[in-house]
Amino acid sequence: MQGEKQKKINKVVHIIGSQYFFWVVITFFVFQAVWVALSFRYSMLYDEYYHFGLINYFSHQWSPWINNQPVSLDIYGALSRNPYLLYHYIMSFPLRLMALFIDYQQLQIILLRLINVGLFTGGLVVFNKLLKEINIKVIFRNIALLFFILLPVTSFVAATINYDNAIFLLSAIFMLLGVRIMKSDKLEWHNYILMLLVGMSGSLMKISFLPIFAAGFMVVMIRKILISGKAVKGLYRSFKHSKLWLKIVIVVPFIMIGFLFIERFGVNVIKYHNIWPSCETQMTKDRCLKNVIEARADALSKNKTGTPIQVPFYTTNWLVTMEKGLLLTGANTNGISGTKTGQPLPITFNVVFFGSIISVAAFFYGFDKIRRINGFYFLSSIIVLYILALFYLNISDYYRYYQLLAIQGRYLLPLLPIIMVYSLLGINYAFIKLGRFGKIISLIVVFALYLNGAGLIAHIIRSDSSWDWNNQTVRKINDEARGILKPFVKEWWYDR
Amino acid sequence: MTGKSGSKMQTVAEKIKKVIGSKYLFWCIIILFILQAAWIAFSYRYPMLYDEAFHVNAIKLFSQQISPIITNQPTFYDMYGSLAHGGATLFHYFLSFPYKVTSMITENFSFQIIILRLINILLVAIGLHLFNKLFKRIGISHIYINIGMLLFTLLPIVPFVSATINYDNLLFALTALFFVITAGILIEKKLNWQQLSLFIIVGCAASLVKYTFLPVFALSVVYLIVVFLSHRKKQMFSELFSSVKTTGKLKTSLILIALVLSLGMFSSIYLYNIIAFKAIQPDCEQILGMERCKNYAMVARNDSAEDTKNTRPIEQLPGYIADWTAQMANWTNMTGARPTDGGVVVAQPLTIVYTTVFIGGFMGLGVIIYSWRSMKKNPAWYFLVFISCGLTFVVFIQNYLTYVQLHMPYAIQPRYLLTIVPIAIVMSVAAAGHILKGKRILKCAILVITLILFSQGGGVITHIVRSDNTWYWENSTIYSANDIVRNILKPLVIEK
Repeated sequence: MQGEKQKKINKVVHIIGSQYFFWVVITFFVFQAVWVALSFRYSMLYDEYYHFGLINYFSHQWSPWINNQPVSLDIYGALSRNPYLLYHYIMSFPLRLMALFIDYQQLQIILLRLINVGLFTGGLVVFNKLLKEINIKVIFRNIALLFFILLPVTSFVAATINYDNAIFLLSAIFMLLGVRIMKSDKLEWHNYILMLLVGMSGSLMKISFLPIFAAGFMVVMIRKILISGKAVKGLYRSFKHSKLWLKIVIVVPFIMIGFLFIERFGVNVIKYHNIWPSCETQMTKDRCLKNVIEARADALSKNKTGTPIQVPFYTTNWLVTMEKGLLLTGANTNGISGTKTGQPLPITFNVVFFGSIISVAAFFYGFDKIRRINGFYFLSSIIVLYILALFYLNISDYYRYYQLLAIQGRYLLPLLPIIMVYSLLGINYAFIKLGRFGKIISLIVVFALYLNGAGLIAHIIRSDSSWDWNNQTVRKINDEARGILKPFVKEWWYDR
Repeated sequence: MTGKSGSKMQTVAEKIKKVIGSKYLFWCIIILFILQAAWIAFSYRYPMLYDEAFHVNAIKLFSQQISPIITNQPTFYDMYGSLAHGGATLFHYFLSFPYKVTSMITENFSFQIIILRLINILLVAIGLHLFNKLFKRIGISHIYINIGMLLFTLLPIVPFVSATINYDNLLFALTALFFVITAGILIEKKLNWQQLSLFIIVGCAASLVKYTFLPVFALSVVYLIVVFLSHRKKQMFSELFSSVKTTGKLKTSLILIALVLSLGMFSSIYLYNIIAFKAIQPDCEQILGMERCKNYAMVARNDSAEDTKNTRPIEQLPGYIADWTAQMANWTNMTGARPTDGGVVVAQPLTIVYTTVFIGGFMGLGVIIYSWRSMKKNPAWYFLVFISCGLTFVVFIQNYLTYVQLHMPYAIQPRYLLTIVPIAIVMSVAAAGHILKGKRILKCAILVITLILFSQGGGVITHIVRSDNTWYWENSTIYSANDIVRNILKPLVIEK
């Protein structure tokens, strides 16, 4: 009896811990994201109109800059010195290609969405490689990634035309390169240049990549260059001995991106004393106010009333809003307006909330063990600096406008796979006494609860026909799926 | 740093360690605490924020009778709710004696109140002494106890509650005594009937002071039963009998009388309530009837909240937990009064001390969890952690159920947890000391920084800086003393 139970458990462990399971996770993720991409109408919640609009504009020019901004672009804010346009510029190439064959904009959007799903999926594959590089067991990688792709926000962001998808992929590559450098005793110039290249590219796509770049690069510099006097010489020697094709393949893009990086950030800092100059330094106020974010900031600064909440209240609100943001869904039912949001489903929300509290505790409990993981300090520095920077930006906005603004769970996506693996390792260590059987049973129970509103389920349950493309088949399929899922999902248990 | 200056620093750190770890410092902390609380007691007018009017009137009611049990009350007292069947408690009964004595000496009401307040301060001071004893008994070094106790007495709520005539103060002392006894039972190698009897006597007495002790008592009983059944099942009864045999007749008789008295009173309140009202703490309406209870502000408030609850959407559990946590930290650091012009004024906490307590609380938990495995712990540690978690959970659940019922976050008060706060603080300090073993200078630096942060609103400072003359007794000496101190403190304290 005992032996049979053990056999069953071993089988479950074997399945979850197999390489095939990872591909099942990836397939499942793609399925969810494609479902959302094919179902939800344009423009999706996370500024899809902004990203598509700019991609579309770039698809009509070869330059990566917008020097004389036409008035029609004012809804996207001031663009002439905006340093974060690389994603849009790069994505304009597939759009140019599509435009040669496809006139139908809806199809163009869906195809661009699918490319974004591809970027995110690429990110998952690289994250898996990164976790392998730091010697995380397959079973932990698979479980962490499974829970990660079942956060409603992952499939939702992946299905949106949004620079977060490129950032997700680049973050994974950047950290993989960093870990390889930290692990290796050899000084290989191409890893350093690639790290810089990826860091600069990410920074030219989104502001939030800057802390990742800064923290990662600083740790590498301190650990590998500053404390070793011979590092520069070693790097030069490795460059000298490497093959010509490798030099060309890496150095050419490095020079191009480096030029773009200096042209944007360098010039901005020298001329405007700011890496991202305010709109009003580039355009008239009237033009700036055409952008919704500028208009909102203007309105809020005029109507700033009351006493602001203090830091502790802000912090707890921030944490919960962040978590909510990982589980939210929503749609713009009328172009860029008619925004509707679907609140997190309660059981999943509670699983994530209590899960994160237990994870933090377990992380502290198992800290001595977790910190021995390869690249721990490198990855942790990035995580800490990134979260602090994000919190600082958000709280600064709060005290500027007395409003909780831009607190978005999706900003954590580039680091969540690492955070979730650390949590899982901590939990595994804290509950070691449960044994294999106990741990597997606990995992199954938590997973069953988590499914009550995770991933695609949240989007289907919380949406209605007005969120979908205006297409009978899409609406019918979603209605049917909703009809099947609703009886199984607990929506609200409180007495109202 | 040169070797000479390094060793000088070590010597200074050694001296500081000696001073902080001395017995005298503990008494200095007690004196500092008494000074702070007495300052509030002499300054703040009657009634103070935490239901002082209720407690004073309950004391007055007892002063008119000899029996410690109230079965009915004159209608004048209806505005304080039901005082019978456990509403007015052993605390009020005990304090009715000093009240009788002071009313014989003087008719000056302020004088009577101040005397009662000073008795309350004395009760907390006794409680601090007992906690000191408890921590010594469970093997924590003097240095950590002193630091922990100092930080505890510098929480603004501690001198504030102590200066109020409130049953929380007697409960604080009795809980400390209860913990000392229970720790003794757990640490001693043999089971002793005297200790067990004291456990029951003090447990019953504390429950009769405030019904919120009941969960502590119940959890402790369960804990002891589990510990004894699992570890000392066989020798349990023989040990008990042999301890009875070795006790003198007089001592036995005294203990038996005390046992009968405490159990008798306990039953006459709680057992009677359960039988007659099917509740441990019956509602006002069950005892006085609907009409009379309308005069009680709490009932009126709850009725009105219940009537309008559907106008307020209920937050999901994670959101409530976040608010609850921040609110607890907020009320730990706030102050308030019922000023001369009537009503209630609640002043917001001073930012730095509030943020320090909030962040320090989480860091404290983190260091306890981190060092849990490697720290030396005797059996009483587990008991204290179990009770602390249990009481926090019970208080939270009670608050949450009220919230679900009324859709209002009422009664979120850290004073309900004050009896376990010294445990949490001293354990955190001991854990931090364990982590930083051998790093004396770093430890000193952390302590100095913490004290500087606490100087920004710790203890009585918040109450002086945030108050004004309308909060005080109408007395020109008090006005000018507070004005002088406020004027000295204000430039040194960041109020923002």
